[in-house]
Amino acid sequence: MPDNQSNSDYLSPLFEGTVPSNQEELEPSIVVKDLHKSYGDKKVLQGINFTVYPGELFGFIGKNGVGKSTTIDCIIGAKRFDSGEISIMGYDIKREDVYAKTMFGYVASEPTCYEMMTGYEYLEFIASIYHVSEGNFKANYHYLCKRLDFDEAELSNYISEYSHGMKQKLCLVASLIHNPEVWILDEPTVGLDYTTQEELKKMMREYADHGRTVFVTSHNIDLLAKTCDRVAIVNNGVVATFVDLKRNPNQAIQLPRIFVDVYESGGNE
Amino acid sequence: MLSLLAKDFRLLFAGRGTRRNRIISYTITILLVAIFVALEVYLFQNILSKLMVYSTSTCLTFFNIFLFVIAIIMTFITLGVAKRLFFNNSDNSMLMPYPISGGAKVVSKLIMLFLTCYAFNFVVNYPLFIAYGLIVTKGAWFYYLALFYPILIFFVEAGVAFILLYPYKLLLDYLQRHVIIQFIGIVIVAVLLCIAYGYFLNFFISAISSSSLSSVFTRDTLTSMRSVGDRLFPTNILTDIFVNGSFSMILPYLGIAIGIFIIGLAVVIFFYNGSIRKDDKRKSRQNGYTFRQSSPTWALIRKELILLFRNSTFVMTFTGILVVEPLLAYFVVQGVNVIFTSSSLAYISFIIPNLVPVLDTLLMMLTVVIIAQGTNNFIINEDKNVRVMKTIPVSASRQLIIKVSIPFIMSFFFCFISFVVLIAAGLMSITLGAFSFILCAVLLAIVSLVSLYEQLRTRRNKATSHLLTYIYSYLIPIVYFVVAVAFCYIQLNIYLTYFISLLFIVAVSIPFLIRPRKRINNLYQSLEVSN
Repeated sequence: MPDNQSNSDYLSPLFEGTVPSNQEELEPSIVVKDLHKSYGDKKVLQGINFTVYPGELFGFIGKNGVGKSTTIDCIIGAKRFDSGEISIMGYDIKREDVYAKTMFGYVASEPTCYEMMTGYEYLEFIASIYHVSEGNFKANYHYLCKRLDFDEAELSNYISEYSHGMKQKLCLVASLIHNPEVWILDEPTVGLDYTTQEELKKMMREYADHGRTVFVTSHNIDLLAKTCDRVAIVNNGVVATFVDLKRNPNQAIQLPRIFVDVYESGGNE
Repeated sequence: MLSLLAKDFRLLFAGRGTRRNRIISYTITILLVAIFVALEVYLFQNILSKLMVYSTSTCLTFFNIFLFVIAIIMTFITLGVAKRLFFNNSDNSMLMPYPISGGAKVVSKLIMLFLTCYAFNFVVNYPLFIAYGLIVTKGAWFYYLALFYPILIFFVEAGVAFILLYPYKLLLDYLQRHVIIQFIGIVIVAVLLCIAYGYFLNFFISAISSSSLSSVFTRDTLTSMRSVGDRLFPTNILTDIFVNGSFSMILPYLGIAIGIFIIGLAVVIFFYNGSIRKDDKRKSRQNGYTFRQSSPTWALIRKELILLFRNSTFVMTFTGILVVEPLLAYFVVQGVNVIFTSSSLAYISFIIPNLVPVLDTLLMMLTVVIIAQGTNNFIINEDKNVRVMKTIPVSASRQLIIKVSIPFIMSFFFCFISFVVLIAAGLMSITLGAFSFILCAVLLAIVSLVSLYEQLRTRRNKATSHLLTYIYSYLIPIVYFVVAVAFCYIQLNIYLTYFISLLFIVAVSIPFLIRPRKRINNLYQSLEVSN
């Protein structure tokens, strides 16, 4: 967002909502209980547990290959897990998958969209799937395109002609077009320029501040330290430690050290 | 240089899938090429031996014309190969950061093009030289010299292909952006090919089935054939060199051929370097889009139609061919009926009554299923977008039913039209046509189901196996044919034969028909996206 404009200039129904007062009293948005997942003999997840509440911006970090993306894939229903429970806004992802999936918007680390469609057709497809009304669709996509500095004229072009960053921006727009309760982002900043990364940080913060849930993984610890309320560090297929940055803001500076300590100690903190 | 060549080789020939699938695919390709060469030599030798009645020079003229037609086909094949080698965006951008000179890249591509064209030309042309040599009794020197024919013809074929390459690329780029024009163009080309196929089929059938060629080659035809044959560059000079031993023509020929090649190469290098440097600026179209809200079902149907009609591979391998399926079916069935009713093979129909309708059904089964296979890549086509499929709030069964039913309905519809055409043209009776149609439709449905099962079974980062799909597409119709011919031989009623064949097809498909919805749902849940 340009510096000379305030957030209120861009306010859309997307970013409206009540700010929760006491999160723990609310029904959790994401519950992951004792999640186990293997690829053949290799046990990737060995009992992941965490709960995320409305109004929370939750970071999920770890080294490469510790199972961050696998956890996200299990949460969104893209992968089957061996045991455990996952629910989104109270809906079980296995038994009530269609209801659970209406509750979140998801952005993959690699832009994933139908490249034979134009940008507009893709947004229209996603909006139709989520029953978005014409009014909300227009308001949301104008608002999101503006915030992410995505040239609306490009929406008439085929996605296959977009650069990596443009595809990622389109996927970000598509993930919010239906105004979901939970926004799940897997390495969302890959391929985005600095200004868009900064804008995305603001958007994630605002989204959480308006009572929604944001779940994000990233290798950019600095980004998570500055924006997240809570961060989970994963090691050996379990959550090694939680860092509550809302209660202890001072830990934001220490987050990189905590991260390194978790892996140097080789186990859970 | 060797690494570049190896890379270009993989670019042209490396297939996707498991090692086993690639071996099967290569084996099928080799078999098809072998069948093509055998058929080509059979036709050529058959006609040539009859032309010997007129004179040796008539044979040479026919040889020249035959080689010229093949040279035209080879030029188009070279055009396709050169396009894949020189204007491959991903390959060009991948090579960009490496310290490889532009010259080395072009030379490696030229060597690969030469090797490919030599191999194609050798496989297609050398058997013709052997057949010609055997008929006009040539010595060993002729067969040895013929090995150099592919080298000499390469310069002209590649030169012409190079000159056409950039306009061809522009045309393809244009067609990719204009789907309707692409579709219309492909339908027109397919119709013309069908008509040409019908014309040549009739020509060859009458040429082979008649004891003399007097009905096909009249005196006037032969005169015009000679005058045309003498003007067909470059094969007129080449046959003169290779057949008549006019070696004084080699230098003038090389002068012209290398001249064409150099002009073509200069054009290609100019545009190749240009395409690497070009910053692909896109023009935004008018932004006058209006939001069309639809139900999830309609949105999914529209997505499937976009996937089918905006993919140029599909348009060429499925939708374009599908539209001309009735015409193709007509020519194939008509040709076979002529062979088994009025040629020297007609006696087989007397030994095996009802052979013709049974054979027609086999051909229709294979035609329908082979064309339908072009779009049976339901899950493979989604590629990374399986992630989108798995995250949108639409049930698996609804998504998969839409995914399978659209291509199935299209194939079913054109299969029905094909049978209407065959019945209307008097190539099949209404009742036999109806039975045959039921068999084809059931097979089509089963192949779609088997294909879906197989693709849903694909596990994380593994290539999809198509073995079962191939078995149900090709082996089942062939088994049906063998069994039906046996029944016809023992003079079982034709309708009973069809009914038993239908029971057989359903029986072998039972493993896929038990609780399909639940099993497909389970397989879909286990289908994993790759990171």
